[in-house]
Amino acid sequence: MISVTSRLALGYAAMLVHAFTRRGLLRQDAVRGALARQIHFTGVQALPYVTGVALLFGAVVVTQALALLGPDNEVVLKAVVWGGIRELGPLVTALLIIVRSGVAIAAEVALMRLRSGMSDTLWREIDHEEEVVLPRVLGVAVSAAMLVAYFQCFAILAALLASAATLGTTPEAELEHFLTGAVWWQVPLSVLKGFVFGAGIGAIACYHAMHIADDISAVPKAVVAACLGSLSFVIAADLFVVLLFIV
Amino acid sequence: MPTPLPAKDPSIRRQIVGLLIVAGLLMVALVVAIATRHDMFSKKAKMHFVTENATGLAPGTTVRLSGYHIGSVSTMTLQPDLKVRVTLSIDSEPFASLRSDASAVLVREQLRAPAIEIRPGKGTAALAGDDPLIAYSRGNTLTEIADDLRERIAPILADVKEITGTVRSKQGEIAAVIENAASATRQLADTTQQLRALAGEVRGRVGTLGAQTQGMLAEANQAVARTGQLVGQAQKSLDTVNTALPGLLQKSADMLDQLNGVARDAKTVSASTASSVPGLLRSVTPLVDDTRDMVSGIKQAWPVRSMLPPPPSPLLPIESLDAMILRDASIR
Repeated sequence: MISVTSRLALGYAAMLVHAFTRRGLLRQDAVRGALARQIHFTGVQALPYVTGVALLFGAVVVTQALALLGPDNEVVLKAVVWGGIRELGPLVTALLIIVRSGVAIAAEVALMRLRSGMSDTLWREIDHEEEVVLPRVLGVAVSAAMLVAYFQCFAILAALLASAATLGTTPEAELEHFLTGAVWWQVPLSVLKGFVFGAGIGAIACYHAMHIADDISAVPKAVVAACLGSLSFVIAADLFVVLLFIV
Repeated sequence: MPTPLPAKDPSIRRQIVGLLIVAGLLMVALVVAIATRHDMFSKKAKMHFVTENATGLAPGTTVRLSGYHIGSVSTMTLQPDLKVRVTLSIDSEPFASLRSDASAVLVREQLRAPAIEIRPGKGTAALAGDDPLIAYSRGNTLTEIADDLRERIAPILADVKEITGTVRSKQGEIAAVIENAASATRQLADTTQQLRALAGEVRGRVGTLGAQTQGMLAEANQAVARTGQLVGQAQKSLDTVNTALPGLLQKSADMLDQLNGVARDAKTVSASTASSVPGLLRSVTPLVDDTRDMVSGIKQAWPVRSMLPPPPSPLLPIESLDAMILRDASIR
């Protein structure tokens, strides 16, 4: 179990390093076009879903916190600030990307590999492989960072409106309380977390898709492995960030 | 041969760039709003306080002066003596108005985040710039106030309960007291009725007295009017007297002058007769004696004596040695 986990971790890291070292490919129009398409599929097309989830998330967090903790605005706002911005925002966004784009990338790349009929060695040596990995890793990372930004804004907006409606105060007053309880660096930190989560999801999806057997039945396994691997990575990375702040 | 990738779609690229720019602007705006709320773009002044209990305080806690936001808690440090040093970052302008006895109070209101309220103090010296240490205290929350109120009210409620128990145990006595009170009330009502009747009678008498008084006043007015007439007449008399008085005085003066002249004449006459009168008076006595002897002789003579009533018997003198009696025969 430990050896498998270590092997997967090393493979994911190698895929990330591989994409980073091939960043020079972004000078090619074809790679930039693939990057744009990936951002469009993962970021732009997912924006309505993320917006809806963010609005529900912000409203539910506030109303549930008020129901559980009573009308203690301080605790509720802390839940919104710390949970909505730094922790749950990037996490929920990453989950959306996993279930929507991660599995899609894994299936697409796996099918591309099977249909190309090329071996692992040949796949890794040609430019086509690099054009596949780099746009997807970078595209998902940029899309995740963008979606986290939108998720935060809509979640905070919904939370402020729900809090004001529940407590009978004004949204301006709730905004003031929110700004008082927030810390400025939480915002870029959450966006950075989204970027890291996205890059990891893209790399893991590509890794599992590119390491399938030459059999069509291996595609679902690769998709499932990519999904579980991405979930594990996101949770582990989030836990790592939390531990960083605790320590 | 690798499969050629499709060409870039300009509309997709515009969408991506637009959304990325909007997302970036939203994040920048959020960061700027938070930083502005925490006064990161204004000139700040530092001051601090030390407390044994920093519950309710956290970096970012609002600092207010007169209810106005002037800064926030910047840092909190646990000192070796286990006290917490809390540093406040506030605007430099209100800092200049703080005095040496300035203090901070933790205000915790329901439904609002805790905040530190700065009291500027009334000392003459300004707050030291090199070591701006201020005092700190914690305000009570509504819950604490309610607890305090409950502790104060609980003994009172116990007393009330005891009193009600005592009342319940002495219900019979209270009923008697109430009955007495009812009787007294009835008597009071009777008394009130009597007083009302008395008041009516007094009112009637006062009315009669008032009428009489009015009559008397009318008579008095008439008397005053008559007095006024008399005064007028007296005034007229006085005027007449005043008119005639100078003439009378003049006449009196003339008469006095005449009397003075008469007196002077009398004085002259008396002076001239002063020398002859003593001799004349000395010769009067024998003359009177002679006259008396003659009259006596006549009285004793017939027929005069029969025409006169007999003389009364002489009275005995009271004192034989009295010379006056010896001289005055009429006394004898």
